[in-house]
Amino acid sequence: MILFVDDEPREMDSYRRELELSGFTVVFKSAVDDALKYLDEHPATVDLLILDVMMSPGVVFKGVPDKGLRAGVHFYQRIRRTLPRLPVIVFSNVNDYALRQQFANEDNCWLFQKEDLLPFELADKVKDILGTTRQTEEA
Amino acid sequence: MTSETLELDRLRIVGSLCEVPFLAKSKDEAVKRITVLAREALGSHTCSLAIVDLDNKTLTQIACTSAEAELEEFLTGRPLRVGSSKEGANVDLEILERGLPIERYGLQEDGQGVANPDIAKKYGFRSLLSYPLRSDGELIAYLNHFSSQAGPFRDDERQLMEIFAHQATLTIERFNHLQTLNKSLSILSDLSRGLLSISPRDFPRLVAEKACELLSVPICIVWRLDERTRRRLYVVATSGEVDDGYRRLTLDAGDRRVRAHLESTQVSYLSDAAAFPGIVHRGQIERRGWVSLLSAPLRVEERVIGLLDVFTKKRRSFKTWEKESFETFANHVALSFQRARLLKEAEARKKLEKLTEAILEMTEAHTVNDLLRLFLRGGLDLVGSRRGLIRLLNYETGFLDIVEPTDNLPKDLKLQLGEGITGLALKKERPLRVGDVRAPRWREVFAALWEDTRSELAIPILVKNAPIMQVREVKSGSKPIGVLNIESTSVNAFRQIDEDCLWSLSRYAAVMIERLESDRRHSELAQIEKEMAAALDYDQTIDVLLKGITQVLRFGYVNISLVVPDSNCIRTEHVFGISEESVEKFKGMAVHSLDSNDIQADIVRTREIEVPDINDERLDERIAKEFRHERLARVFIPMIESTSNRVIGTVEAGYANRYRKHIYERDVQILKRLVDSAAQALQRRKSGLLDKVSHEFRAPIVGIRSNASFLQTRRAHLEPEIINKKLDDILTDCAILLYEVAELEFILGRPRKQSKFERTLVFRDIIKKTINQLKPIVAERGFEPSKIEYNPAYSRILVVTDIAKLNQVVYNLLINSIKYAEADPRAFTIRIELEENREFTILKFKDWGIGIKKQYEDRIFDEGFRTPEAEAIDVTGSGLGLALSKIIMEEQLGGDLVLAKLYKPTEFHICIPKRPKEESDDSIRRR
Repeated sequence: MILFVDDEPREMDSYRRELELSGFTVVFKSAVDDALKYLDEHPATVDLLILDVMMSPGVVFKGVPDKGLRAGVHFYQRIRRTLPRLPVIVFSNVNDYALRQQFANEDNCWLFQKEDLLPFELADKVKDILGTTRQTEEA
Repeated sequence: MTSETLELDRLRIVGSLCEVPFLAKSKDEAVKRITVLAREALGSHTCSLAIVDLDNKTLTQIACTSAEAELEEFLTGRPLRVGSSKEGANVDLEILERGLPIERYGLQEDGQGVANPDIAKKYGFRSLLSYPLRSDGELIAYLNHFSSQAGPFRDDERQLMEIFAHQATLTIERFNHLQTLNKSLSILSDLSRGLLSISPRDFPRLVAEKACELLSVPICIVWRLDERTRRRLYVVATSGEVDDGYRRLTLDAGDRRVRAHLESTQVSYLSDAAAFPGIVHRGQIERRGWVSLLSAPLRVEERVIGLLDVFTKKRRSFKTWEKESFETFANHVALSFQRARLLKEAEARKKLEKLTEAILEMTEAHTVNDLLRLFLRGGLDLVGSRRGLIRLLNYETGFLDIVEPTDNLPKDLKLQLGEGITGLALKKERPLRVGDVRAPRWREVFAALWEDTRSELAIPILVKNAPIMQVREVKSGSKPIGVLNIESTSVNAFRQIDEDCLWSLSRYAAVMIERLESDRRHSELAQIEKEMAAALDYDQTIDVLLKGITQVLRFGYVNISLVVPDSNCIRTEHVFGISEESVEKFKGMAVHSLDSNDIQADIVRTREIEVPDINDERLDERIAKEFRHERLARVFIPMIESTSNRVIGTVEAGYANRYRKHIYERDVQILKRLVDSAAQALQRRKSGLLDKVSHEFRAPIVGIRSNASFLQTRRAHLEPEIINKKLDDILTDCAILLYEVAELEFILGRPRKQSKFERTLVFRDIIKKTINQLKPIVAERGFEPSKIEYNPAYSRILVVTDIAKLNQVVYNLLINSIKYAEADPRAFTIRIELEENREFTILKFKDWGIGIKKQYEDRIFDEGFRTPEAEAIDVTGSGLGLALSKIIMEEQLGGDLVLAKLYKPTEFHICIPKRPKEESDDSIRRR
């Protein structure tokens, strides 16, 4: 199952549908608070996390540095403590060097720009990451 | 990307920074405060300021603020080794010599220089950004920002570092200046006391010792010109390691090289005297290992009486304030020699005691008014009179305004420069001593304040060798300030020694006035820079710049021209100091191709500051003739964006040259700082907003592309309903992009050309169209589009306006109401109501969203402003929507946009005039 966290569901709708049509189960969450709650409650069912960067801080990241505006970064750091091996695709419109550096040396983590991937290309990346065999088994 | 709130926090810090040089009591306190503020603004792990000593190849951290108290202690006062990195030095000498910014990453790894990797690991910092501080073009220090992030640094961090480095430079300069000034005053006072207490024969030796003390140099030589033959200069005193062989040397006053130096009005500096082919006795200097030389001619009036040389034994670059101090010292020495001659007379001795007392008292003055009061009192006491006054030249009117009279002044007699004995003395720039004002020579000239005056002594107050700018060079010229006027009821009441003493006192007063004025200007400039940092938009930044130029520097004419890249031209955007009716005419004429020979185009190319000659061929003859520019002294300064290094325009500033002939170099320096600050402020705003808007463009583009691609690859598998939804999404994203283009144009200052495209339209259609465009966004939030309520009867209302612009305003209001609605879909309602009166059709937009807090009411239409509550809900957003809407309504549609109610409902009113006013494209273009 893929947990897709992005505060722009309308813009991400085609990506979500393409993943579903490619055989993946997708749970979409548009608020970081909801997404964290979901992960806490279903840690074992999530095979991959797709995570936006610029999101509202919600309640959980209110008051963190940078006003929590890069809530995706704080989200990532939080879940890594409990789920160090969970594959994560950071999927963002932010395209700066600081962000690339932030994730450059992270294991099980891939940073993609939204403008670089069309829906079917994202689905291909997800397939590569999760591995076709595993997907077939789960199907 | 930095949020607007974060940016405001930073602006607040930069505002506090501007006050540091003036509020701190010591240099140590000031530089420490700078590191504290820099750390806060940059979110640094550690911030430090390191003084560069290129002579001794060291870099010493004199102030440090860190998250780690232990590290702070460790770094403060710690020298870094400068040299070749191969030899284990911390900082590469070549980098320091070039004075470049330093960026280092991976400090916890070996071989990165600057910091010991063990220290970096222990305290947890990983990267370093260092910015150079330059004074008079020379590197003096580095400001260091150690970060716990791996890097690289962002542009906004680099920009902030530049601002902090600029203020730190100002602070160091100011305190060094004050230190040198205080030292200089104390030394001058020692010299004056020495003049009275030691024999004239020993006096030159005291001069040599005090010169060494003043500049902390090891060698001083005092030369005197043989007064009888005026052909040779002899050594009359030395200090430090000067042997008899050198003392026996002479200088031939007729020698071309010596003559050129003696005739020079400025202090000469040679970094390596022994390597300079034009110096006399070069071999002797080389043999003794003397290196840098500072030399000043000793001159009384226009007559040279000697020469003062100081040498160092290591290469040393003297700062401007040190050279100025040396020049003041040399002037004082020259006058002292002249006084020493007069000391033989008992009465003269008495007067010189009084002169010294007056000088000492004047050094205590903290304001120009205090100084003038002490100057007048000292002057009257010196010549034993009770009747006198000080007039200062008003540079705009040419009047000599009375600023400090004695109590018994009978009337305020207006005098212009050149009028009366007083005005004549200042015009001729020399004292006038008139024994009998009723004598035929003076009867017509004398302007009586006191009817029974018989003698008058008028002493000009002027700086003889003020640095001025001509074309691109710094030269020297006089700066008239005012006149000290002393009168008596007796004929021939004043003697030559009175004139000499007062002239000496007056020159000292002139230097002091310049210093105090310079202090005042710097203090006011700090306030202006603070306002500049807090300026919210383009107009406010330009207003603050104009205020600085006209009020702090007292320039009467300013022309701000900006480069228009699309048209490859530079054109006047703001002009101040000409009649209001002429402004548009001026703007119409002041447009020049960047390829032309026009001076502004040339300054964009050369990036040099210039004070052109009135006959300069590059000046536009038509404008000069029409606006009588021949009566102005003017300077042109390029406006350079520091990050892009692009010239974005020029500032031309000037004043009437009738009473102030020159453009003074000190004013140019301040002017340049103001222009740089304005360019930085404009750039900060522009780059921050551009970042936000460009980010906002990405979301709809990604939406359009992903939807189109999805339809292309999956169309066969999709239900018609989904296909329609995707097509709706594409249309909405296209509409959003178009609205965002308007925001981009707004930042770039280029509105759409069709702003006059007015037509009659059915009012309801605009509302309907915008709601349709926004439907997918409403649905995305889980809201019901039908909860956007309006009366269908609006179909009867017709308005004449620019549909595209009104659409933009309606869109901005509706999208805000949707974005900032309460999360609960049941609470979602937007109501659009309509009201009419004789002049306006008023559209009321009401929503029951999160509302606007009272404290933000006044800022809601500010460019880039977003409330913290809005930021918490929607992280993107440029904060331009309401600002742009307000401008459109007020300046393009001739109506208004008003915030009528803050909460439950939040209510905005769009007021559309029934008879639209003429649009003003200029008002938009300015933004």
